[in-house]
Amino acid sequence: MEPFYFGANNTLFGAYHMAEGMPRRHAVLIAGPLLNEGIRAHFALRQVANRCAAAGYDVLRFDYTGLGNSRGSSADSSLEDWSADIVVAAGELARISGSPTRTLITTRFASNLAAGLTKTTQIDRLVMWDPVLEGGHWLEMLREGQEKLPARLLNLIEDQDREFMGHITSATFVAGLEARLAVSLDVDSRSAVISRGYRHLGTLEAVTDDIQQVDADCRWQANTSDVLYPVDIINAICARLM
Amino acid sequence: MRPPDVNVTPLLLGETGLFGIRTSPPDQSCSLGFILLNAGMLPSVGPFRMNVELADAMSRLGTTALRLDQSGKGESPVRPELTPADAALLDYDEAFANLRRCGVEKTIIAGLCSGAVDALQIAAARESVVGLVLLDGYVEQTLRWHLHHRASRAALQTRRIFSRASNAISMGPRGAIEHMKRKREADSIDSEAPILTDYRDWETLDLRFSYAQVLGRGVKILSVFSGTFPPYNHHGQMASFLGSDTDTHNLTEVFLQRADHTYTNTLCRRHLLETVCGWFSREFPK
Repeated sequence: MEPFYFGANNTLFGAYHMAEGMPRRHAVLIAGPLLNEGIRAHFALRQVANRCAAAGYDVLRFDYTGLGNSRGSSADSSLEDWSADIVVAAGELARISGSPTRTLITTRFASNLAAGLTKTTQIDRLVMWDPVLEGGHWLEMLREGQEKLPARLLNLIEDQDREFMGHITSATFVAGLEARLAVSLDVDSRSAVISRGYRHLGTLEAVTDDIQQVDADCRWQANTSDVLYPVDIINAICARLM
Repeated sequence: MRPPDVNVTPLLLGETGLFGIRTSPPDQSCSLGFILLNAGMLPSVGPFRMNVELADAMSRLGTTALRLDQSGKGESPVRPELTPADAALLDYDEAFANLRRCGVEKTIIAGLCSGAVDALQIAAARESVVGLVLLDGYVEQTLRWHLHHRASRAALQTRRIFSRASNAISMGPRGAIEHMKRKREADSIDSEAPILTDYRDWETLDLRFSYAQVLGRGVKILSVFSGTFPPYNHHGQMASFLGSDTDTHNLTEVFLQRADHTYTNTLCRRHLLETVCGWFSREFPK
């Protein structure tokens, strides 16, 4: 794995996993989830990247502006910024790998944010993990997580409309989410891996009929710091690429 | 976006490719380095990105900070041939070797939970460590802990009895049964979650001796406890646990009672940042 910064002013963090063994000339971009979901899913997505690289794929993971190891603050970053980050990361992966075909793996709300990329860039295959395709759906879960906080912590939140999952979001975050409806994903091969308790099957079925349900509980709406390591989900995602 | 006020450099250290991010002030840094360890199995950004905020804040105070992914955590590969304790020491040696190339001569190590225990163990073995920031680090229950614990349990049970009685009256019998069903469901979900002890292997270590050793050597310790760390429940417990035989004049003990173990709330993280930066400025003046 090669860590580096890229994008305008070198502010986006990337982790590039170069293909091992016989390269397939096929690149995989992993667009992880946002806010605390991204920290919790880091370990699992790193396993996906390692396994894809071992199977001959060039893989790029990256952190969104103001999240993870990328520079900036979530308070200054909009949904449009994070959507643009996916496009920039895809361009960077194409540049460094030179691979002619590409797969995009999205997790949670990245599946909505990636719509800009699937419209403008050549993506051959899209694999979604527990996609949240509508902003309103994600907002509902964020608020639910907030309500599950113990009262003593909830009372300390200075702005209930800006602080979610332990992160301060931008002033336009809530309005931006409400305005983000289900998107069209212009990719020929679309599939999804979903965990137990997945709620948005109706919206997902309008996008793809290739859906695999896995018996794992990711507890996305929980405001916790527990690291996700759903082995069966990782296996299912990787199996779709091999 | 605001122009960066600190410089960040991703690193792969040593032969195994240990991962870290070095954060340096834009101008001349001081000879003190600040190394942040992982909290449990979380990557080096820390819970809710706390380590990033801490590294940036410490760099603004003039230190070169390094957020380290210890062996087998975050982006770093495991060292299967070594015990966890030996791996933690080798991880530190590689991080320190990198910082030395930036002019660092001495270090302060920070860690939360298991990271705090690792930091203490490293400090006991390496004289280059002159400061420790221990967040919910190891502490033992004292007689006063038991008194506080019993008193708070009694108060809690009394509040519950009054609260249940008042709820039952306002909800009526059917509402009360529904409420109990929902609560039982919620409890069963929570019971699946990992607990603090899942991340710990402290019990076999003689950590009281390690504290005495590093304090005796003049290492300055900031020991911060949150309000949801079961082994700690009152200010002064740390000094009391170490006993009068241990020289504690370099120990600063802070109880951030409103914070939870992983500092979920941004206000609590801000208090923590101010606590750490204030301690650093006082204890390590320029």
